[in-house]
Amino acid sequence: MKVISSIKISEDRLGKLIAAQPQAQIVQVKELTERDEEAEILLTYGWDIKEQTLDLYPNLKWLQSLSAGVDMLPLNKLAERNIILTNVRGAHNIQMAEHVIWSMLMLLRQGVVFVRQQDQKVFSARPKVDEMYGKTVCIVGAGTIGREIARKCSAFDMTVYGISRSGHSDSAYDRVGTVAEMSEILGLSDIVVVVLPLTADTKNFVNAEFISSMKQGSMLINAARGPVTDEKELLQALQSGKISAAALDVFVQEPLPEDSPFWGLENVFITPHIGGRTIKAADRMLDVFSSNLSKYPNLKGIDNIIDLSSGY
Amino acid sequence: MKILFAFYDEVPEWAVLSSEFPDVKIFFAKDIEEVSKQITDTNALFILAPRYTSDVADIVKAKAKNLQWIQTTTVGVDELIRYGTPSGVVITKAVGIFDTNVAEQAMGLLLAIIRQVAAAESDKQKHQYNREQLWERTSSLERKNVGIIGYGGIGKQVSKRAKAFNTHILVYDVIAGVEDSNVDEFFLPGQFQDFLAKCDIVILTLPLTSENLYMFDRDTFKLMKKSSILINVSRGKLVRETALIEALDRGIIAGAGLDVFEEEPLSNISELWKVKNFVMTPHLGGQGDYNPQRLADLFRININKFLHGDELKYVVDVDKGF
Repeated sequence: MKVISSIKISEDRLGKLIAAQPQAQIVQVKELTERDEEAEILLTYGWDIKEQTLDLYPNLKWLQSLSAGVDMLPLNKLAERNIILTNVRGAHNIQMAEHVIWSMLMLLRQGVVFVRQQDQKVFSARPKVDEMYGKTVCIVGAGTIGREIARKCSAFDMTVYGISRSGHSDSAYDRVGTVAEMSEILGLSDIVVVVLPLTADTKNFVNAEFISSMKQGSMLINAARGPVTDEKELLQALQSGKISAAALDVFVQEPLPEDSPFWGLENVFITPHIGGRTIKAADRMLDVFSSNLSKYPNLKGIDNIIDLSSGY
Repeated sequence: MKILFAFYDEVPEWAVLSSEFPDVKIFFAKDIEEVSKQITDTNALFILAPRYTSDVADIVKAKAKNLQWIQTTTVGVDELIRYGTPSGVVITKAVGIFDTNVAEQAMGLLLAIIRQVAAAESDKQKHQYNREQLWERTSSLERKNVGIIGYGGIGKQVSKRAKAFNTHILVYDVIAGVEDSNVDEFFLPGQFQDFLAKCDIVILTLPLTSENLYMFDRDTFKLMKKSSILINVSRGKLVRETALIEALDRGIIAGAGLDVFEEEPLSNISELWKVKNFVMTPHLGGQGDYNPQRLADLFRININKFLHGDELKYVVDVDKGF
């Protein structure tokens, strides 16, 4: 079976993949531009797959994305062609959670202000430092990433609320509510963390109504996808002080354009979509693929199959 | 009974204590002149230990004829030991107040280095989106060996937090540790080299005493892993800064985060400001928004004990130095 990969795989890793599936012929390419009738499997981060890309591989059976979100993929076309789509749900949990806690510490304990002070050789403890201890955090999207964030927040002695579709209780949280209870829970929360998958339902989820439910002066962390927030409303809330500070790892347009007003806001901590990205995460993601590849061609047995109609 | 809060503007959470104890009068002195004027009939001096300078010590020794008790508003008391207090005066420290804050500061400094906060902020100032560069440089705490030196209240709060990052926790202390689910390995004196050789991260949460002055010096850094990171949220003089600068410059260790310094404020001409892979905060590890209330709770307990002639909470052993 032929696997086309637009992801660079180290020699070491390649050996492990072949060991998992001796029949695999893995071809690494820079771009997915050449027609290939033998290719059955595509390995990609997902950003390079357009509808036309799929036309290059008429015998494609399985697309493995090494991203957690699949919003960038042509889901309808995949459904039409009966191509199985899998992601790496779980592989990013630990890194994402570490990123979110880091962001929270930087916001509450003024990390960025002190980086600037160091740069200017200023030794002053005047900037007011807040505590994570005792604060209430609301995790919007209480999935597997949310659970890992909740676990870490509890270690910092925070009260942890979650919002999920089902509202099922979960021991990692002090309370999980449904979207119907969201406005009440947001009103109790000092920090709101957004880790929703981007789907048709979650586009602009953080809108004017969402923001108006938030506590005056609370903080927002978006580590999900840019379009989950209505950036115009978010910008306004950051300027008015309704939201006192934000840590944003994702934006509607990436790279964030040089003239974006977010760059100039003192109360915004910007990172370039690195929440899930570290060397170790890459290892873990290839573990997911390797395990799936070993089961191929039994597609029904493989992990992390995406429901193409709901998008997660 | 007269309580003097030295070097404080009025703190509402503390001023209110006088209404709870009719026999207690509370004063705030915001500078040394005021302290000097107020000290003679003071029974209890409440002070931030770093503000107990040699000048203050001289005034206290010469004029504080009625002083029976010094309550620090810090957990470290090394300045009081260094400059001395009149004999017979009981010293108590503020234990437990800052533990969670200092632990947060330690985790903040650590993540700031591991996840490259300085690079992210510098790109932001330039409106530059450098995803690939930051990705390459971003590391993680996962599966790292986190060493904690000094396992008191702060060390315990650090281990609880660090453990949640899927790490292996190693503790070095002069006293054998009791069972603690957050700790994977305990090390005692005699095992310091083994301990350092294993650590990917070393966090200092021990009091400064005459025994451990400059425990991190040239020779100590050589015992550490090249990839290791040092975090100090305790006292500056545990680390010889010239040796740290050399260790960072020459890649003997990979990074450091300090909240405390040999001399504070850090001198303008120190090379530390600009050394690579280094993040600093200006001795605010203990700060947090709930501190005045936490301190008021402790003061309330100790004032009550003092008025009843009971033994105070968290009395300092002057011979041990903490």
